[in-house]
Amino acid sequence: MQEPGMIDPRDRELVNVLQQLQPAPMRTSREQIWYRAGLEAGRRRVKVWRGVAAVMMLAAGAAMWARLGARGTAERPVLVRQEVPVVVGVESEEERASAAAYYRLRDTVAQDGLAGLPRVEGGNGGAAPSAPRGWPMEF
Amino acid sequence: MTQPLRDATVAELFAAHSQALQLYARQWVGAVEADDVVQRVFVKMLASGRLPQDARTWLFRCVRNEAIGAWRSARRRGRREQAVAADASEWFEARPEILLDARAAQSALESLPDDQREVVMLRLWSGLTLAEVADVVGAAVSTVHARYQAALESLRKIMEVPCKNQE
Repeated sequence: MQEPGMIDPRDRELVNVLQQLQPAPMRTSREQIWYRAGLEAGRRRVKVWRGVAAVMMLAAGAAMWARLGARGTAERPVLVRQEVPVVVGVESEEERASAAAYYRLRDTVAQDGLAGLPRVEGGNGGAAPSAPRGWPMEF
Repeated sequence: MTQPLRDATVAELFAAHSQALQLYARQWVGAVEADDVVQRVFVKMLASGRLPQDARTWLFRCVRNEAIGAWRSARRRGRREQAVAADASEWFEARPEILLDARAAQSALESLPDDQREVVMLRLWSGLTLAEVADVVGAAVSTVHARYQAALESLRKIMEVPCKNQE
């Protein structure tokens, strides 16, 4: 790339004079820079190993925690369904006969109406007390 | 495109530019810190293991960034003034065969605005072209050229005064 515009001849003279000045020498030698670069490289390597060690420690810790967690007793509520025995009523012979009689009577009434009811002999409608047995007495 | 770094190349770069780099860093920091800045930049280059495409420009750009960083950090710590006051070392070597007084030249340069001084330092003692200077300072070439012209004019005015008195 070309330099834009030429500088004034008076400035050229000034530039030439100024360029005679030499910058002060550095106090740091080349060897010191190489030494520092080596030191920094060593530090970086140590940092890398430290990082690796930290990651391994974390992994080991996590593994131990996982193993201990697997052995431990876990407390949790357990629902147990209990079988309730079904109590079946046992009918006696009398009850069974009475129930059968009732069902028979019901079926008859359903089929034939009241006419189906068995006729009661000598009944008085239940309005008056029936005569005691053996009444009237014959002397 | 970068190339693998060879120690001999770094040694050559160090021999050729370390003084100019240190002088450039002196605009922001003291002599000791400037040395340290240059050292850090070369260490960075060695650590990267690659030679930057334009190594010379890269070096000056890195020194600039490092020196400004160091200057800001010193300013935050409030120690810049003490550091600069304690550091009375000169920017240039005092050589009897040169008629120009190194101390007077340094004073003249210090009196320039920062952006003008930076351009003059890079142009005169680093041997960078104006385009390279523009790349280092992050400005347009025309801007850099204008700063360079203004700086030379100011320097000429400052440095002509003693001559007139002598006449």
